[in-house]
Formats: sequence, structure tokens, C-alpha cells
Amino acid sequence: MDRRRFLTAAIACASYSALASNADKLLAASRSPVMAASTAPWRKAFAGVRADFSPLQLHTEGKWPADFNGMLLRNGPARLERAGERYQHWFDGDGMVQQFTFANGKVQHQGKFIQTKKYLVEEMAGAFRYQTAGTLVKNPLPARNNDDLNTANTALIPWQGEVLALWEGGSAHRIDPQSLNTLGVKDFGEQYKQLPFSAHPLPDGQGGMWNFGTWYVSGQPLLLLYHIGAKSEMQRMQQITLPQASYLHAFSQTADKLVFFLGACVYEQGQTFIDAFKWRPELGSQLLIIDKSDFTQQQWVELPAGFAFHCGQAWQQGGELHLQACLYPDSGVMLEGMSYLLTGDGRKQSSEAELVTIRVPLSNKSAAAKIERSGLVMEFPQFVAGFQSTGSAASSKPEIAPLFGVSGSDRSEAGLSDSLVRIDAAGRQQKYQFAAGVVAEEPLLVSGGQQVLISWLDYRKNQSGLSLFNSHDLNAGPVAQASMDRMLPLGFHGCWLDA
Amino acid sequence: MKKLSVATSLLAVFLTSAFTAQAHTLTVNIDQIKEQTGKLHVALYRSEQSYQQGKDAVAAVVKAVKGDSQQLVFPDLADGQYAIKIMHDANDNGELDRNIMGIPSEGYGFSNNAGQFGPASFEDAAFAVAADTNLTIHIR
Repeated sequence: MDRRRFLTAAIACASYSALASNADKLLAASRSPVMAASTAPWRKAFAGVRADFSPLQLHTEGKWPADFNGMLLRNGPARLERAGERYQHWFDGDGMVQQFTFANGKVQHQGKFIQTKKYLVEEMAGAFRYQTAGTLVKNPLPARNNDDLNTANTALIPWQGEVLALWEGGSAHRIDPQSLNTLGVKDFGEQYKQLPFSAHPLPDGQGGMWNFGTWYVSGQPLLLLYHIGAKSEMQRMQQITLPQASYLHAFSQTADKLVFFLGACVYEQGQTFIDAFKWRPELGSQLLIIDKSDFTQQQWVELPAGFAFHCGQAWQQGGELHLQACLYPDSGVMLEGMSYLLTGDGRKQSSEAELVTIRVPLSNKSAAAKIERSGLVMEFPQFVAGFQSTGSAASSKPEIAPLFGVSGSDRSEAGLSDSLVRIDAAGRQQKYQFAAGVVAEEPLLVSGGQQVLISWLDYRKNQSGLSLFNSHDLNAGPVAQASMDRMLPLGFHGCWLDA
Repeated sequence: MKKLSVATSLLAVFLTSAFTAQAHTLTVNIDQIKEQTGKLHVALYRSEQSYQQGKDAVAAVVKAVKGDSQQLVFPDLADGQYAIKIMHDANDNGELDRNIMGIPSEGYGFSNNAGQFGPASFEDAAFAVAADTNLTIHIR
């Protein structure tokens, strides 16, 4: 029997039936959504927006380099409320691209919502119609597949003259970087449509990229690993069964390995996707090291329980693999903190991430891993990408680039980032702390790594803006700034495009 | 006398069967058809087993898509529990296109608009027919 024939077989194949039985339980609307709203001083940072932003010139000060021409594009959850219904988790909002164009010493902003199917249906309905990662909405529509729930709200990467807006549970969306128009849904071949696709692909050095997705709703924890060529063709895909269904957001690479940190926050069951994740310290964490040349060659290393969204560099040195990670002692930031930002009234004391370097012996597989702490609170790590210089098996002295990121201080009312930080291979730290009421977003290295461009939101002055730093001297403060009387919703990740 | 008796008996049988197995008409309105191409494959089932296996449908209709909605009529249905599956074969290749993980990329739907994410169970999709019945199924 041809089991794909509709009238002679069920719609569901086995894996999809399993998906459905779990997903139905997962998404069963057995409780009414709580419509709590924050009254905290930073609530405006999470108020969301209702319409696109038309072009607006920013006020500039300081010394913007004359040849500083290009474009900063950033993505983040922007639509957080409709028809009196408010999302309960930062992950839920519809993606919007913020574009800052630099030309001849002037800076201009505009922003456009990404035209996902979800966004278009909900615009038409004037109400939320699809379930999200962390909120049960009223009267949701049934979903055809995971892309019906796709908010495209997490990151942006340049790809073949366009920009890809990335989520992690489904397809990338193609964006025109100039007009910000949504060009369509990206696929890498007919049978690879709608696959989960992380927001942090890594360059393969040949114009292509490595990426992954996790697929946990089938009842079996699967890591889907992809190697995509420069022509958007799927060169290789491997399904890897994980020992635990860890929340997985990003990965890292050496010259010949891909490295994953699988934390102790694991997918079980719950009323929403976020609610289904539980902190299980008894499981511990694991490092998964995969040969780029052969995805079936895998090494697993046990680690103490922890949680991470982002990795820094990875390299091989003296028979060891080193991985930089922004490591949390628990998963409170995702399971509670990111809801509290939208709904809470005070500062939630969820744990902060510390930059650590995890060292794993590659030759002696029974030897224990070591975790070296930096003492530096850091998130959104950035470095000048150059994996060729970060160590191959043969290289004895790899060059480790300085790492940039944001950090929070005790002065931060929201517990959000208020400082730009730098740490080099020797552990030397630099820091610039912004004024009270300013939330600092992901920094990006520009001008070949010579400068750092960072966006921020000042919720006391109702302004958004940008600051440019000399990447070798953060302590000196910004060399130039641009600001506007326009509050942008806080975002996640972005990219820089040279003019 | 004997003829009259036979005629009376036949009348009784006819009347009894008419009361116990009345025929009903089911009208199915299908809307939210996203792609205006291909065909709708609609199957009406009367048991959980046939629904699960996709076998022995009470009725199966293949209808070319002409617009974003469509109405189908199933006459002469007996009393009972039924459930409907619909596939929108937009590219007309006779299959519900799916990716390597089995996730559909073409449209589909179930009676009661059941199944929040993925296929609906018979229990969730089942509806009673005890009179002429109208229902609407959204293609997702």
C-alpha cells in the first residue's frame, strides 16, 4: 500500500501522529491566559509597537567616522499585545526589523514588521490567533505546521544579497535589506521545508553554513544537524538522538568540530512550549562534539548542571577542546525571568550568565572536563569571526580574539544589561557603563573589528540610540552617539552590512 | 384476506424501516483555502478504525479548488457518528506534501476543526448526524 495516499491511509505518518499526540497535549488550552501587565519603570521597553516605523533621522553627536557607511539591522519581538490580550513571555512577540542606515555622517532609522503568516492572519483578525512559545491565547486557530507559529523574531544574517530573519522552531524568512520587505519563506530543498532552524548558524568558510534545529515534540529528543552550501542547497543533514531534550539555542565551532552545550533545562510536558521545559539539575549537562567531516563521529562529555543560550569561540589546544560559554547556574532566566520582564513589577532575581571556558580532553576521553570561570557577567557574546585562527587539531597556539558582550550591574532596575564589556585571552577586562535607565543590547563588531556598535534604549528619556566605541578602548567611552525620541522594543540579535 | 395481510405486513416493514433508518443530508462548508490550485480530497468516515486507517470511507470526494471556499453535500446518511478528513493537494500530485520529518506543507482540515497542532483523533473530530446537518471546516 502506498501509505502516502490520502484516501487509503491516514494523514498522519507515524512520526506525525506521535507529534500530534504530544503537541495536542502540549497546546491544549486548559487554562485561561493570564493577562498580567507590568507596572515596572522599564515596562515601556516591553510595551511593544503596533505599526511600522517610518524613516526618521537621528540626532548625532561625537565623531562619526566620515567613511562609516553601512547598515545596522536588528531583530526582536515587537508586537506584544492585541485586542487587550498581552503576551506573557519575551519570546512570543512578532519579529520586526530595525534598520539604521549610516551615510555621509547621518543616521536614519526605519522599522518594519516581518510579514509572517502568523502576523498577516492576526493583522487581518485584529487579534492573536496562534499559540506562541510562552502564552496560551484565546480561541487559537489550529496550525498546519510549525511555520504557522513562526514569529521570525530572533536574529538576522546576510545571505546571498538578502537577509534571513531567523526564529528557531521553523523556517527563516527572506528580507530585502533595503526596503525591509518580506520576500518569502526560505527553504533549502523541498523535503527540508519548515524544519526547525536555529537563529545562530555558523559560517563554513566556503560561503555556506552549519546550522541545527531541535525537534522534541515527537517524543524522541532529536538534534537535526545541517550543512548548507553557498547555493542554499542542503549538502548534508543528520538526525542525532540526544540523551536529554535540552533547550538548545546556539553552538560553536573549531576548524574541524561543531560543539554543543546541552544544559539541564529539558523539554517534558507543559501548557506551552516554554512551560514544557523543566530545570532538572540531577541530569547534569553534556558537551557534544561532532566531526564536521563525518556527523556520525560524536563525543559526549559530562558536565555539571548548567544552562546557556550563547557560546563564544571554540578552539583546540594541547589535546583539549576549549569552549567559551555564557553559563547560567540554572534556567531561571528563560523559565521565569523573561516572563517577569513583561509582567512583573520589580526586579526579578533570576541568575546571571558568567563567561566561562569549558576545557575537554579530546585524547583521553575518560578524563573529566574543567570549567574555568572568568568572574565576568556576560551575555550576547561577539568576536571577530575567524575560526581558521581559533585552532585546528594541528595548531598548538591558536589566536583567541577578544570577546565583547553586555553585562548587568546592581544599578540596573530591571536586572537587564547596562554595560558594554570586553575580555581578552589573558582575562583583562574593560567596561563601559551606560547611564541609569539605559538598557544595552547586543554589540556588533564593525570596521573589521576596529569598532563596536551597540544599540540601546533609555526608558527614562523615552529614547533609543546607538553608540560607537573604539574596540581597543571601551573604558574611554563612546566616540560617537546617535539618538532619537522614539522607543524601540528591546530586541535580540542583528547584523551589520557594509555599504 | 391473505393478500391484504401480506400488504399490511409490507407496509409495516416499510414504515418501520423509514422510522429507524432515516436518510439525512450533510452539508460541509470548507473555507480558508489558502492556495487556489489543485484539488480537495475529502473523506467521510463512520468508525474510529476506518478513520485511523484511512480505509472504508462512507464517502470520498475529490473536488477541484475554485476559490477560497467550497461546499460539498453528502446525501442519504444514516444516523450515527461521523468524522471528516480533508487534504488540499495544492500541487495536484496526489499526496499531502511533507518534509523529511513528516510535517505537512500542504493544507488539511478535520471536522470540528479539531487537532490544534497536527492530526485530530477520531474522538475530537467526531460529530453526530441525527438530522440534516451543516458544518464548516477551515483548511489550515
